[in-house]
Amino acid sequence: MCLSTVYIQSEDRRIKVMQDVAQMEYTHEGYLMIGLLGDQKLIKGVIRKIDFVDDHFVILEAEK
Amino acid sequence: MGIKISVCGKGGSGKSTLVSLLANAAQARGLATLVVDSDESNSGLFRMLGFDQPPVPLMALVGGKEGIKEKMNQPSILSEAEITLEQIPSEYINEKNGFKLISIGKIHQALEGCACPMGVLSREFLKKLRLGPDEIAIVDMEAGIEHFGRGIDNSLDAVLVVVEPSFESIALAEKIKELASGINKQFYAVLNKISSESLVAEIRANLNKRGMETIGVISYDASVFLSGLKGDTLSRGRATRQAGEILNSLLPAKSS
Repeated sequence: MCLSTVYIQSEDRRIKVMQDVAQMEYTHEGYLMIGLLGDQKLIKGVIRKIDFVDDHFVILEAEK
Repeated sequence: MGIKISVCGKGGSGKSTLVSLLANAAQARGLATLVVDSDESNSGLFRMLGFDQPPVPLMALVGGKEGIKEKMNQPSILSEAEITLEQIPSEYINEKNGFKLISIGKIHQALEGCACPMGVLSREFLKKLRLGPDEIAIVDMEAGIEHFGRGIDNSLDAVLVVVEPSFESIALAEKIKELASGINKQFYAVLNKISSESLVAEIRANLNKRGMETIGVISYDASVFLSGLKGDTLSRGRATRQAGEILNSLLPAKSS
Protein backbone atom coordinates (compact mmCIF):
# COMPACT_ATOMS: atom_id res chain seq x y z
CA MET A 1 0.00 0.00 0.00
CA CYS A 2 1.61 3.25 -1.11
CA LEU A 3 -0.09 5.32 1.57
CA SER A 4 2.07 5.38 4.65
CA THR A 5 1.86 4.74 8.35
CA VAL A 6 3.63 7.28 10.54
CA TYR A 7 5.25 6.27 13.84
CA ILE A 8 6.91 8.30 16.55
CA GLN A 9 9.93 6.75 18.22
CA SER A 10 11.02 7.72 21.69
CA GLU A 11 13.86 5.73 23.22
CA ASP A 12 12.66 2.09 23.06
CA ARG A 13 9.00 2.76 22.23
CA ARG A 14 7.49 3.10 18.75
CA ILE A 15 3.91 4.38 18.66
CA LYS A 16 1.66 4.48 15.61
CA VAL A 17 0.50 8.06 15.07
CA MET A 18 -1.52 7.82 11.86
CA GLN A 19 -2.38 5.33 9.12
CA ASP A 20 -3.11 5.84 5.40
CA VAL A 21 -1.22 9.12 5.28
CA ALA A 22 -1.43 10.50 1.76
CA GLN A 23 0.50 13.71 2.24
CA MET A 24 3.03 14.99 4.75
CA GLU A 25 4.16 18.58 4.80
CA TYR A 26 6.74 20.35 6.93
CA THR A 27 5.42 23.44 8.70
CA HIS A 28 6.95 25.63 11.40
CA GLU A 29 4.69 23.86 13.93
CA GLY A 30 5.78 20.38 12.86
CA TYR A 31 4.80 17.88 10.18
CA LEU A 32 1.22 18.15 8.96
CA MET A 33 -0.11 14.73 7.96
CA ILE A 34 -3.21 14.50 5.78
CA GLY A 35 -5.09 11.24 5.32
CA LEU A 36 -6.95 10.16 2.21
CA LEU A 37 -10.33 10.74 3.84
CA GLY A 38 -9.52 14.23 5.05
CA ASP A 39 -8.26 13.50 8.55
CA GLN A 40 -5.30 15.64 9.66
CA LYS A 41 -2.73 15.52 12.43
CA LEU A 42 0.26 17.63 13.34
CA ILE A 43 3.30 15.97 14.79
CA LYS A 44 6.57 17.34 16.08
CA GLY A 45 9.77 15.39 15.61
CA VAL A 46 12.63 14.65 13.28
CA ILE A 47 12.26 12.19 10.41
CA ARG A 48 14.62 9.27 10.98
CA LYS A 49 13.53 6.71 8.43
CA ILE A 50 11.20 6.38 5.45
CA ASP A 51 10.50 2.98 3.90
CA PHE A 52 9.12 3.15 0.37
CA VAL A 53 8.85 -0.61 -0.15
CA ASP A 54 7.94 -2.71 2.89
CA ASP A 55 4.86 -1.48 4.74
CA HIS A 56 5.43 2.12 3.61
CA PHE A 57 6.23 3.81 6.88
CA VAL A 58 7.76 6.98 8.23
CA ILE A 59 9.50 7.05 11.59
CA LEU A 60 9.99 10.31 13.45
CA GLU A 61 12.10 10.70 16.52
CA ALA A 62 10.36 12.61 19.27
CA GLU A 63 11.84 15.99 20.13
CA LYS A 64 13.63 15.96 23.46
CA MET B 1 -27.73 -6.43 10.52
CA GLY B 2 -27.29 -6.91 6.80
CA ILE B 3 -24.63 -8.98 5.18
CA LYS B 4 -21.57 -7.93 3.18
CA ILE B 5 -20.11 -10.44 0.75
CA SER B 6 -17.33 -10.24 -1.79
CA VAL B 7 -17.00 -12.05 -5.07
CA CYS B 8 -13.44 -12.72 -6.13
CA GLY B 9 -11.42 -15.06 -8.30
CA LYS B 10 -9.33 -15.31 -11.42
CA GLY B 11 -9.68 -12.71 -14.16
CA GLY B 12 -12.37 -13.76 -16.61
CA SER B 13 -13.85 -16.39 -14.29
CA GLY B 14 -17.18 -14.55 -14.12
CA LYS B 15 -17.01 -12.37 -11.00
CA SER B 16 -19.05 -9.50 -12.43
CA THR B 17 -21.51 -11.97 -13.90
CA LEU B 18 -22.02 -13.68 -10.53
CA VAL B 19 -22.31 -10.29 -8.80
CA SER B 20 -25.05 -9.30 -11.26
CA LEU B 21 -26.86 -12.61 -10.89
CA LEU B 22 -26.70 -12.42 -7.10
CA ALA B 23 -27.92 -8.83 -7.18
CA ASN B 24 -30.91 -9.88 -9.27
CA ALA B 25 -31.60 -12.77 -6.92
CA ALA B 26 -31.30 -10.56 -3.83
CA GLN B 27 -33.65 -8.01 -5.34
CA ALA B 28 -36.16 -10.77 -6.15
CA ARG B 29 -35.93 -11.85 -2.51
CA GLY B 30 -36.92 -8.34 -1.43
CA LEU B 31 -33.55 -7.29 -0.06
CA ALA B 32 -32.31 -3.73 -0.51
CA THR B 33 -29.23 -4.54 -2.57
CA LEU B 34 -26.06 -2.51 -2.91
CA VAL B 35 -23.49 -3.56 -5.48
CA VAL B 36 -20.04 -2.13 -4.81
CA ASP B 37 -17.80 -2.04 -7.86
CA SER B 38 -14.37 -2.40 -6.28
CA ASP B 39 -12.57 -3.44 -9.46
CA GLU B 40 -10.52 -0.54 -10.83
CA SER B 41 -10.03 -2.26 -14.19
CA ASN B 42 -13.34 -3.60 -15.49
CA SER B 43 -15.73 -1.20 -17.12
CA GLY B 44 -18.94 -3.05 -17.84
CA LEU B 45 -20.62 -3.96 -14.53
CA PHE B 46 -23.12 -1.11 -14.82
CA ARG B 47 -24.27 -2.46 -18.19
CA MET B 48 -24.79 -5.97 -16.81
CA LEU B 49 -26.98 -4.44 -14.10
CA GLY B 50 -29.08 -2.53 -16.61
CA PHE B 51 -27.74 0.99 -16.15
CA ASP B 52 -26.97 3.29 -19.10
CA GLN B 53 -23.91 4.79 -17.45
CA PRO B 54 -21.76 4.23 -14.39
CA PRO B 55 -22.20 6.28 -11.21
CA VAL B 56 -19.72 9.01 -10.33
CA PRO B 57 -16.97 7.07 -8.51
CA LEU B 58 -16.41 7.63 -4.80
CA MET B 59 -12.85 8.64 -5.66
CA ALA B 60 -14.40 11.93 -6.82
CA LEU B 61 -15.37 12.60 -3.18
CA VAL B 62 -11.68 12.87 -2.39
CA GLY B 63 -10.94 14.75 -5.61
CA GLY B 64 -10.15 11.82 -7.90
CA LYS B 65 -6.57 10.81 -8.45
CA GLU B 66 -5.75 14.06 -10.22
CA GLY B 67 -7.26 16.36 -7.60
CA ILE B 68 -6.69 14.25 -4.54
CA LYS B 69 -4.24 16.57 -2.82
CA GLU B 70 -6.54 19.56 -3.15
CA LYS B 71 -9.74 17.87 -2.05
CA MET B 72 -8.78 15.19 0.42
CA ASN B 73 -8.66 17.62 3.34
CA GLN B 74 -12.30 18.62 2.78
CA PRO B 75 -14.89 16.77 4.88
CA SER B 76 -17.24 14.35 3.14
CA ILE B 77 -19.39 11.37 4.13
CA LEU B 78 -16.18 9.37 4.05
CA SER B 79 -15.04 11.28 7.12
CA GLU B 80 -18.03 9.94 9.10
CA ALA B 81 -17.60 7.05 11.53
CA GLU B 82 -20.47 5.16 9.90
CA ILE B 83 -22.08 5.37 6.47
CA THR B 84 -25.64 4.26 5.69
CA LEU B 85 -27.04 3.84 2.19
CA GLU B 86 -29.21 6.93 2.66
CA GLN B 87 -26.20 9.12 3.41
CA ILE B 88 -24.48 8.53 0.08
CA PRO B 89 -25.12 11.52 -2.24
CA SER B 90 -27.36 10.57 -5.15
CA GLU B 91 -24.79 11.32 -7.88
CA TYR B 92 -22.58 8.57 -6.47
CA ILE B 93 -25.35 5.95 -6.63
CA ASN B 94 -27.12 4.43 -9.60
CA GLU B 95 -30.50 3.14 -8.51
CA LYS B 96 -32.99 1.05 -10.39
CA ASN B 97 -35.63 -1.55 -9.61
CA GLY B 98 -34.64 -1.82 -5.96
CA PHE B 99 -30.93 -2.13 -6.28
CA LYS B 100 -28.10 0.34 -6.10
CA LEU B 101 -24.66 0.50 -7.64
CA ILE B 102 -21.67 2.47 -6.45
CA SER B 103 -18.17 2.48 -7.88
CA ILE B 104 -14.93 3.10 -6.00
CA GLY B 105 -12.88 4.29 -8.97
CA LYS B 106 -11.29 3.28 -12.26
CA ILE B 107 -7.90 3.51 -13.90
CA HIS B 108 -8.35 5.73 -16.96
CA GLN B 109 -4.90 6.56 -18.32
CA ALA B 110 -1.51 5.01 -18.86
CA LEU B 111 1.13 6.12 -16.33
CA GLU B 112 -1.47 7.52 -13.93
CA GLY B 113 0.12 5.67 -11.01
CA CYS B 114 -0.95 2.92 -8.68
CA ALA B 115 -4.44 2.07 -7.45
CA CYS B 116 -3.52 2.28 -3.75
CA PRO B 117 -5.83 5.23 -2.95
CA MET B 118 -8.74 3.23 -4.41
CA GLY B 119 -7.78 0.29 -2.23
CA VAL B 120 -7.83 2.46 0.90
CA LEU B 121 -11.13 4.03 -0.12
CA SER B 122 -12.68 0.64 -0.77
CA ARG B 123 -11.46 -0.74 2.56
CA GLU B 124 -12.63 2.30 4.54
CA PHE B 125 -16.00 2.54 2.78
CA LEU B 126 -16.78 -1.14 3.41
CA LYS B 127 -15.60 -0.87 7.01
CA LYS B 128 -17.85 2.14 7.69
CA LEU B 129 -20.85 0.89 5.72
CA ARG B 130 -23.74 0.06 8.08
CA LEU B 131 -26.48 -2.09 6.63
CA GLY B 132 -30.01 -2.57 7.93
CA PRO B 133 -31.47 -6.06 8.51
CA ASP B 134 -32.93 -6.33 5.00
CA GLU B 135 -29.92 -4.93 3.20
CA ILE B 136 -27.11 -6.74 1.43
CA ALA B 137 -23.87 -5.45 -0.08
CA ILE B 138 -22.23 -7.47 -2.84
CA VAL B 139 -18.69 -6.43 -3.68
CA ASP B 140 -17.21 -7.03 -7.13
CA MET B 141 -13.51 -7.42 -6.33
CA GLU B 142 -10.54 -6.91 -8.59
CA ALA B 143 -9.13 -10.11 -10.08
CA GLY B 144 -6.50 -11.96 -8.09
CA ILE B 145 -5.55 -11.57 -4.45
CA GLU B 146 -4.09 -8.11 -3.93
CA HIS B 147 -7.31 -6.98 -2.20
CA PHE B 148 -6.41 -9.25 0.72
CA GLY B 149 -3.08 -7.47 1.06
CA ARG B 150 -4.93 -4.16 1.07
CA GLY B 151 -7.31 -5.30 3.82
CA ILE B 152 -10.42 -4.71 1.70
CA ASP B 153 -11.98 -8.02 2.78
CA ASN B 154 -11.47 -7.40 6.52
CA SER B 155 -14.96 -6.04 7.22
CA LEU B 156 -16.85 -8.51 5.03
CA ASP B 157 -18.97 -11.39 6.30
CA ALA B 158 -18.19 -13.93 3.61
CA VAL B 159 -15.95 -14.40 0.60
CA LEU B 160 -17.23 -16.13 -2.52
CA VAL B 161 -14.70 -17.30 -5.07
CA VAL B 162 -15.78 -17.99 -8.63
CA VAL B 163 -14.21 -21.14 -10.03
CA GLU B 164 -14.29 -21.75 -13.76
CA PRO B 165 -13.19 -25.08 -15.24
CA SER B 166 -9.43 -24.47 -15.29
CA PHE B 167 -6.51 -25.55 -13.14
CA GLU B 168 -5.41 -21.93 -12.65
CA SER B 169 -8.83 -20.98 -11.35
CA ILE B 170 -8.87 -23.87 -8.87
CA ALA B 171 -5.32 -23.12 -7.72
CA LEU B 172 -6.16 -19.44 -7.18
CA ALA B 173 -9.31 -20.43 -5.27
CA GLU B 174 -7.18 -22.49 -2.91
CA LYS B 175 -4.93 -19.50 -2.31
CA ILE B 176 -7.95 -17.26 -1.70
CA LYS B 177 -9.33 -19.78 0.79
CA GLU B 178 -6.02 -19.68 2.66
CA LEU B 179 -6.07 -15.87 2.74
CA ALA B 180 -9.74 -15.68 3.75
CA SER B 181 -9.19 -18.23 6.51
CA GLY B 182 -6.27 -16.15 7.74
CA ILE B 183 -8.67 -13.30 8.51
CA ASN B 184 -11.44 -15.63 9.77
CA LYS B 185 -13.83 -15.12 6.88
CA GLN B 186 -16.42 -17.62 5.74
CA PHE B 187 -15.36 -18.91 2.35
CA TYR B 188 -17.38 -20.61 -0.37
CA ALA B 189 -16.66 -21.67 -3.92
CA VAL B 190 -19.13 -21.12 -6.74
CA LEU B 191 -18.62 -23.11 -9.92
CA ASN B 192 -19.20 -21.15 -13.12
CA LYS B 193 -19.41 -21.90 -16.87
CA ILE B 194 -20.42 -25.47 -16.10
CA SER B 195 -21.61 -27.56 -19.04
CA SER B 196 -22.31 -30.96 -17.47
CA GLU B 197 -22.98 -32.82 -14.24
CA SER B 198 -19.78 -34.82 -14.68
CA LEU B 199 -17.81 -31.55 -14.76
CA VAL B 200 -19.51 -30.46 -11.53
CA ALA B 201 -18.53 -33.75 -9.89
CA GLU B 202 -14.94 -33.51 -11.09
CA ILE B 203 -14.36 -29.90 -9.97
CA ARG B 204 -16.25 -30.36 -6.70
CA ALA B 205 -14.10 -33.40 -5.88
CA ASN B 206 -10.95 -31.43 -6.70
CA LEU B 207 -12.07 -28.55 -4.47
CA ASN B 208 -13.06 -30.93 -1.66
CA LYS B 209 -9.62 -32.50 -1.80
CA ARG B 210 -8.19 -29.02 -1.25
CA GLY B 211 -10.56 -28.33 1.64
CA MET B 212 -13.01 -26.09 -0.23
CA GLU B 213 -16.78 -26.24 0.05
CA THR B 214 -18.89 -25.57 -3.03
CA ILE B 215 -21.97 -23.51 -2.27
CA GLY B 216 -23.45 -23.45 -5.76
CA VAL B 217 -23.17 -23.97 -9.47
CA ILE B 218 -23.86 -21.55 -12.32
CA SER B 219 -24.39 -23.51 -15.51
CA TYR B 220 -23.15 -22.38 -18.88
CA ASP B 221 -26.02 -20.27 -20.14
CA ALA B 222 -26.02 -19.18 -23.78
CA SER B 223 -28.18 -16.14 -23.02
CA VAL B 224 -25.74 -14.94 -20.33
CA PHE B 225 -22.83 -15.53 -22.71
CA LEU B 226 -24.57 -13.54 -25.43
CA SER B 227 -25.45 -10.69 -23.04
CA GLY B 228 -21.79 -10.55 -22.03
CA LEU B 229 -20.70 -10.45 -25.63
CA LYS B 230 -23.06 -7.59 -26.50
CA GLY B 231 -22.62 -5.68 -23.24
CA ASP B 232 -26.31 -6.04 -22.49
CA THR B 233 -28.18 -6.41 -19.21
CA LEU B 234 -28.06 -10.02 -18.03
CA SER B 235 -31.23 -11.90 -18.78
CA ARG B 236 -33.07 -13.45 -15.84
CA GLY B 237 -33.01 -17.09 -16.71
CA ARG B 238 -31.65 -20.30 -15.25
CA ALA B 239 -28.44 -18.67 -14.03
CA THR B 240 -30.40 -16.16 -11.92
CA ARG B 241 -32.37 -19.02 -10.35
CA GLN B 242 -29.13 -20.79 -9.54
CA ALA B 243 -27.77 -17.57 -8.00
CA GLY B 244 -30.94 -17.45 -5.90
CA GLU B 245 -30.14 -20.92 -4.55
CA ILE B 246 -26.64 -19.72 -3.64
CA LEU B 247 -28.13 -16.75 -1.82
CA ASN B 248 -30.56 -19.04 0.05
CA SER B 249 -27.65 -21.15 1.23
CA LEU B 250 -25.56 -18.15 2.13
CA LEU B 251 -28.05 -16.16 4.17
CA PRO B 252 -28.97 -18.92 6.68
CA ALA B 253 -25.26 -19.73 6.90
CA LYS B 254 -24.61 -16.13 7.90
CA SER B 255 -27.29 -16.07 10.60
CA SER B 256 -26.31 -19.41 12.15
